[in-house]
Amino acid sequence: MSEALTQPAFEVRVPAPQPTKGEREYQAFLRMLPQLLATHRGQYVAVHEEQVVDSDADDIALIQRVHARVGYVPIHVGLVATPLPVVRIPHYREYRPAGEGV
Amino acid sequence: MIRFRYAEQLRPPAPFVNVSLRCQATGRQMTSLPALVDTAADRTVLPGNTIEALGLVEDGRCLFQGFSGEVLELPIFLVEVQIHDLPALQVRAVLGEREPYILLGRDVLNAHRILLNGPQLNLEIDRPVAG
Repeated sequence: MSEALTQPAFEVRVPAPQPTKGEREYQAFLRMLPQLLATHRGQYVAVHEEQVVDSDADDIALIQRVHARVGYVPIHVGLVATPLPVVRIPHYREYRPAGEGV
Repeated sequence: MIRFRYAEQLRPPAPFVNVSLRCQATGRQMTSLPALVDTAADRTVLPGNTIEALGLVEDGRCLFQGFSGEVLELPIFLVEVQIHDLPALQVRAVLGEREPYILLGRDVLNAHRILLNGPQLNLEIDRPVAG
């Protein structure tokens, strides 16, 4: 008759995923959004190093100004609004298995 | 006026134009890239390899909704888009990781007068009137 053996369980160390700088700036924007709605509603704000560094009604001018100041690094420039706008790109291609043409 | 033939290797044939892309910050550019005229797209979509080749860095994230209604958060990138030799436009395009080609959205298309001539399988874009 066989004996039941208790094997030790190995611990697998999984490194925590590191968010990119762009993701960190976006998360900071979302955290600050409730306060920003009181001060910058309808404006675009630029978030760098998890702080609001500038704002403008023109997002492209804002991006160019902030990049000129802090360098060409990932930032978050977002519209202070609620709910956050959703962009629609309803794009699908018809699926045709290989050999049935493009 | 500039005329482009539809891409007939797609079924049904599809309106494509040639575009150039440029990153103002790095000065890198790509020319003669095929781009599908996609009037249903709110924003222009760039394939992942294009963003990499231009060295673009993200300047924001937006929520995007596709055909199925699913909402995704995706990075957007400031880029200069030029159809043929028409005046270039600065837009914030979105990453389309698995898109095989550029999708020109209404952020670019609305700057132009475009005639889709389906029966003749071509499209015409007017040149802006000088002055």
